[in-house]
Amino acid sequence: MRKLAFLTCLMLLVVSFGVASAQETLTISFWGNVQEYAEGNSDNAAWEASYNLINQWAEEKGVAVEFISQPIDGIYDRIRTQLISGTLPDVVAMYPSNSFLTGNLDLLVNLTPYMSQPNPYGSFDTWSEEFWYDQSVGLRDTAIPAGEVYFVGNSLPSNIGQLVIFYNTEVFAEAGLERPDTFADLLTTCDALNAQGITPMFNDGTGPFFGWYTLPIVEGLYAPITTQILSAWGVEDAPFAVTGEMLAWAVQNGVLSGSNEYVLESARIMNELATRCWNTDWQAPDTSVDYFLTNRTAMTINGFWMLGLYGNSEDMNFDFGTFAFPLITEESTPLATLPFVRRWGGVEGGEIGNSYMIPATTEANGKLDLAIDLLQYLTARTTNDAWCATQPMPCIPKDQSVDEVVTDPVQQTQLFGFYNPTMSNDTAIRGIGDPTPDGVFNRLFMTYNSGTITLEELGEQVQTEWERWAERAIIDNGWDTSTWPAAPAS
Amino acid sequence: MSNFSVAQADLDGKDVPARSASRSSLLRAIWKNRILYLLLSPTIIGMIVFQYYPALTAFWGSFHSWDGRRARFVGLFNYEFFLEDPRLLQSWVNIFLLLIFNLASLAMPLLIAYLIYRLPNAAHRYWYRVLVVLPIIAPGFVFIVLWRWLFSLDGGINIILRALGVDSQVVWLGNADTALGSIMFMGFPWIEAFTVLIFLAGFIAIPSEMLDAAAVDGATGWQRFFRIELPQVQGQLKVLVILTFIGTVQDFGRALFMTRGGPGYATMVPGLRMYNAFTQENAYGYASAIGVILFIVILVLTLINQRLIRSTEQ
Repeated sequence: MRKLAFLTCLMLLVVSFGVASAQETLTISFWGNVQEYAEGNSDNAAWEASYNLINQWAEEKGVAVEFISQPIDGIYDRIRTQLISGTLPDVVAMYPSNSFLTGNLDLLVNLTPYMSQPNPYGSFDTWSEEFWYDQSVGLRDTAIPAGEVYFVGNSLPSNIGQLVIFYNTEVFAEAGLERPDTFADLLTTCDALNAQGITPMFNDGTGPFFGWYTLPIVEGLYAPITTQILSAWGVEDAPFAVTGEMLAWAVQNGVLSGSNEYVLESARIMNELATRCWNTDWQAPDTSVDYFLTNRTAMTINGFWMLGLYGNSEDMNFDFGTFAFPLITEESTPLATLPFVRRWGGVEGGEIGNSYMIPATTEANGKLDLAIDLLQYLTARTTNDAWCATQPMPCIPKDQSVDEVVTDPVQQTQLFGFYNPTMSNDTAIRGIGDPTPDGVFNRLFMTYNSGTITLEELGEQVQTEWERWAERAIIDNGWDTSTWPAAPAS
Repeated sequence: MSNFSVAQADLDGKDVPARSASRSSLLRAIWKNRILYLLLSPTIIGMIVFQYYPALTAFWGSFHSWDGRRARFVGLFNYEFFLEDPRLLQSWVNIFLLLIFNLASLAMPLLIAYLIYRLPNAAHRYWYRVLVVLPIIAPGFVFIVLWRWLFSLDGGINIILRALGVDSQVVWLGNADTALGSIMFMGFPWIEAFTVLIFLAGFIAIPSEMLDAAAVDGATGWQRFFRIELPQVQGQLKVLVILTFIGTVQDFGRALFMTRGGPGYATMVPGLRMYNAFTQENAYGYASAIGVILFIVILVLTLINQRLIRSTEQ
């Protein structure tokens, strides 16, 4: 009897193993900590929603999905290494970035041919039409040749600026302050807050915050340099139109230099912001606390993802609003030339959402059809709507204004900065600025801000580092300088 | 016999029988101890694959513009580029200062090991040893978080200073004048458990007869320490000095996690330049060149160090 029971158990085990083995498995490299998404307690609503949608697809399809957590710190290095070594899972879920793709596009599945075919989960004639946005927008703005699609994903359909300044509306109201419209207003606001013993604005010089401040200042002030570069190269003005190669040309031909008045003025302007607005410990703040959330500062720069985090945080005990980094006008510098703010964001969605790519190895492993099926499921218009509904930002179609959809004044204040000024191809950033990967400009700005070097010395040192960068970039990238445009007449 | 005639002799086969005999005896010895060689071989193969091969690859890579996938020979360009780095001097000065400090701070574990060794009660000796070793189990991340907080504007060090009546508003890691010193201060009181244990093992191994003889001869406590006990742990000290040399030149973890080499370039070290080249620039060739230069520096320093120690002994 015992033998019989044992044999039955054994057979059941063998059969169940056989069934399990017969089930197709798709492995997915997934952005962040999958455990948190599974437990439903992550801070990231966007990826948690994607995780749930993938599981939904797996259940409907009868497919086993194995998620592989990709810690966000250093994710692009790891994925690039895995891409080159051919060890990536079947699908990679991540925010697109061009840095690791340079020269490696042939290692990805080009999704362009699939775009003209119907999406079996969709309701349009082609997969392409399922997207709220131009499906190539996510990487149109980076290094991918126009029209080629290597990433698809979920996205809010609207035109949204991703980076905004969050401000404590209660502190502003008590101090009798309004949301600043210009950079000069912002500095005055900071002075008023300082006068009341309130630290105006948070920056962390050791993290991404620093770059988020530098970006709108540099993109605003370097406009004449950008124009000069684009005109020399005969390139149409567009988001990220200035490539690394153009920057190397600009450095070697003196168009972008440490002695350029716009470069020096951007450092001077940033120094005003640092001195009058930032927390005094900005060069090495205590990173274990959120200065804004804990009322240490009245403002901070951050991204759309914080909207949900701040909104849902139990520690949040004040109302907050947002505004875009304000326009630098002639009131602040005679070199201000742009009539609008250039900002990082998604034009008609695209960049703001989660994306997926398929490594070429998936085809060799016989999983391409399954991987494509998953991507089609995730990006069908109805699925995107379901994804959108879970996001902290409302899902506003591009032809509607935020105020038409959001009528609650508190929410309007919170969303203001993401939609004003509206993102468009004209206001999106061009990719101009410090080309060095280690952020030489920001590093040297720290020394300048602490009074160790003068503005002119900053310029000289920046120039040396940029020249070194250009020299190496030409060799590393194999750029043919003989095909470069002639140096502009001085 | 000139080199030519040795070669000629080989060709003529005159020396072949002797060499052949020695080779067969070597083979016999290997066969006799084949189990030992067999047991060693997985480790050696592992070392070749995971240690020697990457090191040789780095050497090869240092002469190439290499992004991990494509490589193009560029000769000495990567070396020249590194040596012409305007920040090079500062990063080596930083390493030098860290090295001096780390060598000097070996005195602390030496002192603690000696004090534990001199405790008369065996149970006390045991518990003090446990106390010294216990922090090893704390994850390194906790150590970093703690020290970052201690050095922050409203962190532990400023709290203590303010309690003592000093209105300290120093952002220790955010000030170019204090950042490197703060990194050195990390780990106060610099009692590294393994270092203490190595010294302690050395002290315990001192023959008691030697100490008894010194006592009979009327040696004082200082004489006993400097003339008998310290020379007896010289072997341990030599190993630790060499390890400190190697560890300091290679280390960039503290600079990376505490300051990212900043503010500006105040705490930049060559190892961090190598790490940044590898992770931020995908410049594997350049990172390899820095790695090779660090290897040469460590090798030279270690040889000089050994020579100095040997001459001191003589």
